[in-house]
Amino acid sequence: MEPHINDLEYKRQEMIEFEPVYVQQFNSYMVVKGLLTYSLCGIDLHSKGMTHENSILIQSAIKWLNEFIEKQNEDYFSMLAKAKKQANLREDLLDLLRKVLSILEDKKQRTRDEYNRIYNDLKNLIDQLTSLNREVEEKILARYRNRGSYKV
Amino acid sequence: MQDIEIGDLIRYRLLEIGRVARRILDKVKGTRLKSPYEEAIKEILEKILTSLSRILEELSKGDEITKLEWDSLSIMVDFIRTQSDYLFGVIEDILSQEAAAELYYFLDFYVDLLVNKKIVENSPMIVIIKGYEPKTYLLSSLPSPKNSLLSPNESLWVIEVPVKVEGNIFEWPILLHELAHIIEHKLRIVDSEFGRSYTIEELERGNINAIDCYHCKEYLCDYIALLLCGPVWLFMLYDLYLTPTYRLPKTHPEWSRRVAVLKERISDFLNNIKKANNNIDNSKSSSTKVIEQLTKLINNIEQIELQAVLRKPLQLDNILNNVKNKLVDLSFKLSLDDLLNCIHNLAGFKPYISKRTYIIREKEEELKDEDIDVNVIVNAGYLIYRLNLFDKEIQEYFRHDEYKMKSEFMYLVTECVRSARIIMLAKQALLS
Repeated sequence: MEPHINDLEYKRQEMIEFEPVYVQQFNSYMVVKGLLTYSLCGIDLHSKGMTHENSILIQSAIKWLNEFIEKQNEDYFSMLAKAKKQANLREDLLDLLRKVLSILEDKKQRTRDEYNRIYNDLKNLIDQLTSLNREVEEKILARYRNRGSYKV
Repeated sequence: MQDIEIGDLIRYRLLEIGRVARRILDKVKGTRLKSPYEEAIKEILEKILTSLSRILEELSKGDEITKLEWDSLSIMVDFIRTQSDYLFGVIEDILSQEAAAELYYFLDFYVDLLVNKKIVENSPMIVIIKGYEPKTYLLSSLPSPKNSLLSPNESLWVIEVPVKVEGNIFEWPILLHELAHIIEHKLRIVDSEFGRSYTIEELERGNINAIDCYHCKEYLCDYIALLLCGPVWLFMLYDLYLTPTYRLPKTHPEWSRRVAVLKERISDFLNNIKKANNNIDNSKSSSTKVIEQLTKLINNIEQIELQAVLRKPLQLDNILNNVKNKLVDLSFKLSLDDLLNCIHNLAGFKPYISKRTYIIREKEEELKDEDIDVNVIVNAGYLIYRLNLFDKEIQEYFRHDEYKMKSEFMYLVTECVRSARIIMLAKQALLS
């Protein structure tokens, strides 16, 4: 062994990782889930006669949908892609989101069937997304959620 | 539509989250942070908490909640809960687990350097906390109803360091590698060389370009750290290579390759030491011994090159050369004389401040690179600690108790860095 290695303490080295993969995944997950959550609530409220003029949640959904469709961030798309599991994914997803946006921006009521179809699509996506990212969410939040106080 | 009672329950839950946000807001206002950017950091935290509590209040007062189906309502509350658990957790950690002020004295010196040399426009907001999982991350701008909790121009970086790093000044150069990541993230140096950014998904799938891109970021940040603080970063990296790392993420290249890439970049300095070693007479002066020891260390580092079998990304040389041209002013040039003088002082447990630091030249407008003592002290201190270069008298004084001697030495070097930093700040104030 090289002489100066003898001086080196045998210890496990901990790395300080820059934006570890799970942190990036969590951030993308939050953004995508936020988008879908506001869209779902928006569609729900729109079906009950509310519009962007009297609903904070519909306004939020419009804002986030516009931003998402305009920027088309690759990380967010691949996060959605995992949840959707389908061919021609990008166009399908964009179609769905554009459809949601056009409904929310319009005051005109749609048929019950149309609302139900879109509502179910969004809800399935959210369910898939949540179950796929459960581990990441646990990893990030476990220490905050299980934090106790010290007692002697 | 849900029952009115369930609506009330949800409303109560949202109000409760808002109440916690206001309680933490009061805590933020009342807690003193050690960071030199305390006010700006607090402003960011206050903004996050104020916007969140305002939004929750608005939602709970409106009638939207009572109109939502149970499914949509529970998904929305679950989302808000997840977001607030995360934000409250990080903010509580910042308030209660901030690392020692000395780390800021050290890091801030390099941040100032980057701002003064106009590499970045403004100091990035960085808070250092004692970490559970060592990592650096952006307290990101999470979406909330209406707007993001932060605007794109506002960002707060959190560096979580293990306690053993916080307590050992010779591990602090790691912070410079993290600082380099923050700068790289802002300037997008590597992504622009690759013509695009790669997603984590692509990296996970094993896309070779994505792997190269992520690896180039690591090599680049090693190189920026080297430019900032000098050869100590190479010596540290070599020690990291020798110490087992059980988990090497895909984002990181092999240690041996990192050492080899860095060694190439600092070959002039290393060759100077080897030349000095060839020219030394047979005197037994302390400098002679130091040069001999250093040469041995360099020879060992050179052996690593033979083991570094992993291929180097094609774009790497281009990226490093571009950065070298842009950051040439920043590059810390350590003279062997200064290093040996500093080693001579510190090895005998005497504080070190270069003579130049005392002198304020007439008509001097800004501090010159050669006035920088912090770097000389960190490089010299690391080598003494690492190669056991302590004076004989000192070893006898500590009765050859190596741990006691090294522990005292760490305090001495930390104090020297703090003093050098304060003297520099005083000098800057006098000149302005």
